[in-house]
This record gives sequence, C-alpha cells and structure tokens, in this order.
Amino acid sequence: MQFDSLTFVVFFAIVLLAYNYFSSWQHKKNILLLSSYLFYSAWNPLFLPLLIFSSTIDWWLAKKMSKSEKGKRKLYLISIVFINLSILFYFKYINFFLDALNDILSGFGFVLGKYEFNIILPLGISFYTFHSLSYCIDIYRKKFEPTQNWRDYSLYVAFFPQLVAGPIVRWTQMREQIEQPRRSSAEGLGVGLTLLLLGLFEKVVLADGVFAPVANQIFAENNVSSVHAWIGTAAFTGQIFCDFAGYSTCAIGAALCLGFRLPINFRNPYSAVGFADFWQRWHISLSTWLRDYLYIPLGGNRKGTLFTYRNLLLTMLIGGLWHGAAWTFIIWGGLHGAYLIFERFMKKTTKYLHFVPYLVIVVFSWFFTLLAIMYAWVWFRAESVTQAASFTLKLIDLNAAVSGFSMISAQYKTSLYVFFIIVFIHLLFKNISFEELIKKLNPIFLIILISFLMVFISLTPGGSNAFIYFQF
Amino acid sequence: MHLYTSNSSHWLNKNWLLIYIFSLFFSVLVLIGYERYFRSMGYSASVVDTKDLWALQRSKVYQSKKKPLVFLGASRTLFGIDMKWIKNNMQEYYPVMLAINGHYPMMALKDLAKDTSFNGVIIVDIDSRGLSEPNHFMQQYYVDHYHDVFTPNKYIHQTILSHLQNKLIFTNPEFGILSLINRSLSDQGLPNKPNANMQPNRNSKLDLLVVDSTALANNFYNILSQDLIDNPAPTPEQWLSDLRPVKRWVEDIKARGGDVIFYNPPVYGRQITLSNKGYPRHLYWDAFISKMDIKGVLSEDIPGMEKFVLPDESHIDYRDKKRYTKLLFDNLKKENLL
Repeated sequence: MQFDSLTFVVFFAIVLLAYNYFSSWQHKKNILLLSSYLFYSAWNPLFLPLLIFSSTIDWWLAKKMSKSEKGKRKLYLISIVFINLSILFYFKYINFFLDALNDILSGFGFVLGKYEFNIILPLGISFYTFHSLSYCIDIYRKKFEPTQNWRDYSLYVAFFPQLVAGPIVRWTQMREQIEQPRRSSAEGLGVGLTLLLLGLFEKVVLADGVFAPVANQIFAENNVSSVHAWIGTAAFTGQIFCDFAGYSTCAIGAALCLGFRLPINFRNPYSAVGFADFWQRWHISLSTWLRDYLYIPLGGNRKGTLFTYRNLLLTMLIGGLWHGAAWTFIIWGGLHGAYLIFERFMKKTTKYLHFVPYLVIVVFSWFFTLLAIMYAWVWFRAESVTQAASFTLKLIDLNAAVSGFSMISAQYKTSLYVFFIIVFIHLLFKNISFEELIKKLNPIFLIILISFLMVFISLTPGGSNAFIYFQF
Repeated sequence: MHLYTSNSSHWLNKNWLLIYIFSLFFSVLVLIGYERYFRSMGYSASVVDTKDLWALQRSKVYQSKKKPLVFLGASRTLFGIDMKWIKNNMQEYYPVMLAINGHYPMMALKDLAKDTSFNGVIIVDIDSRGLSEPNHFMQQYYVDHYHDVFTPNKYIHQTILSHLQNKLIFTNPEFGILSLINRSLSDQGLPNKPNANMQPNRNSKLDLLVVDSTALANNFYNILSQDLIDNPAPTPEQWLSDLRPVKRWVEDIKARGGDVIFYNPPVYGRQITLSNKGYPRHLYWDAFISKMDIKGVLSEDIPGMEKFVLPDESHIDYRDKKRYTKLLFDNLKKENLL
C-alpha cells in the first residue's frame, strides 16, 4: 500500500479507530501486526509468506544464538547472515550477477549463455532484511537479550509505517515502544497528521507533480542539451529528496498518530557543508546502519589513513549496490566514497587556508557539496552508464547551458525555481526538524499551513505513483 | 503576529481538534470555489480513462454471479455501446467494457481465453485490418499492466478515485493546480472542453456535434490510407493462416461455457470504400467466419443499421447510442448468436 493512495486513507482511518477502540495493549499490538501484514499484502499478497518466514527464522535463530557458546554463536550468526543475504541476492541481484559473469567470461572467450530469471522484487526486502540483520548482529554482540515474543519481533520488522521504505529502525529504538503500552494522544494525532500531510505534499505535489515530469522527460531524451542536462539534474535532485523524505515524513507522522516515535531520517540534507555532513542528514538510518555494521567492523578509521580510505570506499560501494543491481548505483556509491576520501584529504590541507575568511570557506564548501551531490544523482537516475557519461559531458558545457536557458519551457523553469526554494528552505531550517517546527508554529499559521497542504494535495490529482525507494 | 509561539497563551494553542476543524473548513471552502469556477465555465466531471481503470474493469469479469458480457474492441465500441441499456435490458449478463480507444483488441481476447476462470460471452469489435497479425499486439501493455502492476491497493484506490472523478472536476489531473499553473505560464489558457465523457464502469459518450466532424473524418481517412500503404493487407491465405490461434482461443472459451462473437461495426463514406478495397469482404471477413466456423456479424448485414448517421464516418454520436445498442442486440438475438 502507498501513503499517497486513497486506499491508505481508508486503511489508516480504520486502523486508528480499531487501535483506539481496544484498551488492552496486547489487542492493540495484534491489530497493528495484522494491519501491517494487510498493508504489505495490498501490494502483492504472494510475498507476505516470505516476510513472515524471514522474520520468524531470524527471531528463532537469534534466540538460539543468544543461548549458545562462542563457536556455535558465530555459526548461528553466519547462518542468519547467509540466509538473509541469500534471499536478498536471489530476488535482487541474481540477474545482475549472471550478466556481469557473462560479460567477464565472454572476455576470456567463454560463453555462459543468456540466463534471465523473471523475478519480481518483493517490496521493501532491502529494508526488512537490514532490520532483521541489525537485530541479530546486536544479539551476537550481546547488546541486548532477544525478545521471547514472536509477535513483538514480527511487529518490529513489519510495523507498517516503516515496513517498505524505512526509516531502518533498530530494536533498541523500538523495544520499549513495543513492550510498553501506548495510545494515540491529541498532540500525537495533531502533529502526526500534519507530518503525514507534509510528507504527502512533498511526494504528491513536489516529487510527482513538479519534478518527476521534468526529470522523466529529460532523462528519456536521446540527445540531451546542456541546459536540459542541468535542469534534469536539478529536477531529479529535487524529486529524489521530496519522494524519499516525503515517505519518511509520512512514516514518522503515521507512527506518531499511533503513539510511536520513529527516528528522523532526513535533516535538510541540501544544506550540508561537506559530504560527511551530508550523510548525517540524508537517509540517516541507512548511513548509521552502514557505519555500525559495515564501516566499523571493517576497521573504520582505526587502522591508518589508507585503510580508512579503503573502508570508506567499500562501505559506499556496498551502499550503492544496496540501492539496486546496476553499475550506475555502484558508481553512485563509488562517487560518494571518493567524495568522503577527498573531504578527509582536504581537511588536512585547510590549515594552510587560514588567510581565507571562514564564511567564504563554508559557503564554497556548501556550494561544492551541493554540486557534487547533484552530479552523483545523475548516475543514480541514469538508465545506463552510457547515458550518465553523456550527461556528464553536457553538464560540463556551461556556456551552452547558460545560453540555452532562455529557450526552456515554463514547466522546466518552474521545476528549477521550486528546486531553489527547497534548497533555500534547507538552509533556513538547517537544524530544525519538521516536528519541532510544527510544535513551535503559531496556531493561525498552522491552520494556514494545514489548509494550504490539504488544498494543494487535493488539487494535484494523479495516479498513485510508487515511491522511488520502494524498488530498493 | 509571530510565526512561532513560545508559550501557550493563544486560545487555539494545542487544541488540535479546533485547528483541524478550521483547516478543514477553509480547505473545503477553497475546493468548493475551485469546483464551482470550472462548472460555471461549462466544464463537467468525467472519469479519466487509464490503464488502472481498464484493469479495474478487467478484474470485474469474475465479480458477479451473472455471466459476464465483455466488450472488446476500440473506440467504436467504447463510445457506441450503451452499458446502461445493457444492464437494464440484458439482465442475465453482467456487462464489462474493455474496449480501448485506438487499440485493436486481440491480446485482450487472448488473455481472456487463457484465463481458465473466465467463462463469459465476448463481443469483439474488429474489422479485417484489426484481425491482421501485425495489429494483434496493441492492447498487450494493458493486459501486462493488469497482471503485473495492478495490485489490491490500486484496485481500491481506482475504485474510489473513479467515483470521485465522476462527481468532481478538480480530481481530473487536467484541472489540477500544477497543470493550470503550467498552462498559464505558457499562455495556453484553460483546457479545451472535451467532447467525450466517461463513467466509472467505462460507459462513455461521444458528442460529435461540438467538434468539426468533417475534419475528424478527413483525419481518420488519412490515417487509414497511410496505414494501408505502410502495411498492405497480406494475402487472404496468409491472413487466415495467421488467425489459427484465434480459433483456438475461441474454442477454449467455448469449452468453458463461454462464447465469442466477432462484430464489425458501421463505418461509412470514404473510409469504408478504402477499407473494402484493402480487405475485400468476401476474401477476408466472410472467409474468416465461414472457414474458421466462428460467430460473426457485419454491421452492413443488420437491417436498419444504415439509418444511423456517423458524423465523422466512423463513430456513433451519444444521442444514438441507446437505439444503436438495442438494434445490435435485437439482431444478435434474432440470429441466435447470443
């Protein structure tokens, strides 16, 4: 099910009523688990057994692991990681892997033949796999005892607001919320519904209404011009943020309506000064997951400069691959790895720039960060490496881009202006979350804001378009 | 007034119920104003025909205890068949409109034939050109959409959406605020008033008196003549040989208790002359019906059909829809085809 569908409006109203009708916390949790499975089945009921199987086996093995001694404990962990990654590999990467293997072998004169599995990617598989893995690895690390309650664990994995596109929540963030009774409060409902509306506005009006038509049109062009390459890049930079942050905002809002608090996943990322700062603002739950379960186990920054660079690059390459089975995603991850290495390298040299005013360095760093991130999005969006490479060449031709600006359509200009407004808002509210903002807002302005959101969402009809991150 | 409040002195502070009541009130007020403006400009609400709407109707072939009566074809059936008349006068059937404007229907027929749960009656609106093998695949992406993309979520979403679109103009994307802003920025003004209207069950009407029918007729003629140059008719033998799978599809449906009737709807003027020149009736249509032992009817064989005026030489105006549907079904019954 999608937050921007009329189905969700009906579903959420029923869930809220049923959830608040019962006073028993056990009943409330049963309702939440059932509705989460219903939410998932609304996309494709055939994949519900996979979700249930995956969470049940992880819950069971994690319990066994916690009772085992050292050697056996490790064996359990390896089994859990193997099972989870095998399922993920089969559904997400098998065709990509066979294609790559074919290409490599054909270079040596071997022909493997064309194998193409017609596989549908289960919705949210990357997200719930990471949920489960973090739980099991933390038990292996003896951070906490496993839950004995299957329903509680299944609810942690399948809790519908965050099931299909995050935030990737840790058990430590959810355990108390699942075990301790809670209910919808007036403020939770008020703030939660407003966040839900804000998220829908980002998705329906901005991502699907303003940016997607422009980005889709430009990335479908065979021979893109320089000005179109720049506008397409800006449009996709706006679209990917509004689409994904919109989903996260909806998720946080929906959870808040039910009395749950999910961690913030985006903190005005286009205001980032530097790439490390960007990853503390963009898809925070994924970047912290990669840090805790990949970068630090690889050695982090503890083994010298070169190892740190290697670990950064590896982490970001795997982060890229997590997004999808394509070379463009791997290159996107590689670019971000290179950016992070470059930033670490540059930090050592800034001491020689003491004669440049601090503000100039900050402004330049912010602008450079934004441009580099925008460029990386080209690889993320491109259909192929060839397309991204041709975009790159067009982006470089700044003269052609500037001279072509007067020729572009009103729709393209609108998307560019809206993109600038979003960047401006990120800079303006750099360290303030939507939730804080809503709580602080004067009620009259709040009424104006809510009315504005409701009217714009209602007046931007369209199909219920899948969120971009659903495919991951 | 301050943007932020630092204390709870304001009488609305933290009263979320009141905040939402006021917000809803203002939003509804704006939406009513928006809707009334377009109504005052002479626009009316209409369901938007999309792949999701088609898929929703496709899913309805199982949803009634009555036998489904499925209409396949293109615009001539979509705009010509009166679903309300069928519902009221053919009560043993549950009518489902699956015709798609501008698309020949063979892939939808194949899909229903391969669907072992389907046992209804199909009226296939098609001509000899549409039966030609290269034209078989036009509706494939609708069929794929139904099987691969149309989820239970989309089913409920589309059901509610089509009822909203049937009542409210502003739920039509063409009248969305972003669409209007873009039109206004590029000096395009308001959208054209459409001459077609659709209901949630895809019952559609075409008003041919508000458009330049002569220009439309010329356009259809030009498209047809160009297509006959680009894709000349295969030999009758080849054409019939390509249609062997169609016979199997029909037999599959019949074996499950269903039936298939091919129907070639009326086309007049230069279009029918050109069409008959490309695909002479006795070599193509008649051979298909007789040699393949298939139920079929040509509109020119139905007495009284010639009395209908087709303003664009190709489509029935909505004012004639009921009479046209009645005549067609009276004839199908009289000939024991239904």
